[in-house]
Amino acid sequence: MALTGPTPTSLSRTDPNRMGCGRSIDDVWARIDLRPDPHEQTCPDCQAARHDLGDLAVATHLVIAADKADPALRLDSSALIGILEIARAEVRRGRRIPMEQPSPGPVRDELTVSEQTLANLIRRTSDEIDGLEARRCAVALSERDPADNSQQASESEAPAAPTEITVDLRIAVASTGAIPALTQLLRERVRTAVELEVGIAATTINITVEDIYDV
Amino acid sequence: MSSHQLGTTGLEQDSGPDRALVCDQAPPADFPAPASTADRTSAPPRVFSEATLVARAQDGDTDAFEQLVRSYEADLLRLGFRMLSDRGDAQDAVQDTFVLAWRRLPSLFDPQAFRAWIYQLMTRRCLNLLRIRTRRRTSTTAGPDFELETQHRAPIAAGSATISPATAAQASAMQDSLTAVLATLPPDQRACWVLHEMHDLTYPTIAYAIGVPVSTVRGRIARARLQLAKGMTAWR
Repeated sequence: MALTGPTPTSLSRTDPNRMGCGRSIDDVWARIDLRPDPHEQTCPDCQAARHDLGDLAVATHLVIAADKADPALRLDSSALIGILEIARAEVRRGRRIPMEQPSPGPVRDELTVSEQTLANLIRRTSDEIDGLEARRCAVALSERDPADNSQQASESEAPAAPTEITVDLRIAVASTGAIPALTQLLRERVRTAVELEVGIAATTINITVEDIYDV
Repeated sequence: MSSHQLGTTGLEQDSGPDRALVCDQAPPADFPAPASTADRTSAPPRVFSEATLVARAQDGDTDAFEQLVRSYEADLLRLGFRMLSDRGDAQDAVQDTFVLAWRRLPSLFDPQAFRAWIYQLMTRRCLNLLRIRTRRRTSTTAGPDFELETQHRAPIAAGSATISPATAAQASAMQDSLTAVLATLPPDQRACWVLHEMHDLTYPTIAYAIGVPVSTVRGRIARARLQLAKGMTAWR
């Protein structure tokens, strides 16, 4: 028996993995599910190793199948709920973005929306478009043109302007998708959704195609 | 406001890296019209690629994270059970691993590497628990503080009436044999062998998960294989 038998000479002294015939246990293991090759059909070392490793291979398959069928080796529903409760409690909501452009004068109670809420809205909107997958999404207040600000200051009676935000959205596109048409549609949908649902102007929507996925 | 008007309001300030990719053509006519909010909630959930789920979870999307948990929980539980020999401990380790994953997700650089990364978190959790167990045992000089759980039997005979009782008994004996011998291997060896033979992880992925060179992984798996084959022969 190559692995346990009374003939230790069949294993090399320097490398316990190497058998007397020159092949290694790894070689035999790699071929264990195949028919014996011509060498293995005649070599006693390999035949013995195949016998011992064959049992291990069969047992391994059996144990894997048993574990996969074991209903106790699925996550408890209470554990799943626990994980998701912690995740929701620890969501990084990001900064709050005012829904109206800050204007000079007395500070008013501001209506704000979190970056996280905006990102969720943008992802949900993207999900309606087949052929692309929205990935990372960042929103930030757009840089205001200083000239624009001074003009607004002089018209303090004018209604507050909507907040302007910049969206950085990274997406993957289906290998069958037409990138120009998809990104144009995505920009329009995101701009509409942000305006309709939170009254904010997504003036700049940067879309980066970072990946292509097969469909 | 129609989408056509939106495209021409002058608000376009395209500066994204894909600017060159955007041409002037209108979307093809067969693109669906913007869905109403009502349509949105009734739409079936889409199936996303793993890299997309990971990127979204990194941004704090708990729905995406839940899908990742659901697609890995069974694999991680199987790993935990073979490492810890206890289903309850495996449940705890998996729960701890996913919570840790949620907290550390923002620092995961490559979303494509999630599979290797989550295996790394789980494997290290198991190895740490085993170290604590060993310490506890040596400090109290008590016997094992856990008992090897019996093997759940796969329904081998079901669906194949040709299997004789003797064969089924032999199969279950082989499972018990492997389970018993596997539990005697040093944890580092056991981890390498289980990840490779039961989870199909490559040597480099295992090296990353455990934090040792690939050559060490190769050596450990070879030694584990030898020990298991010997042990099973002796057990029989």
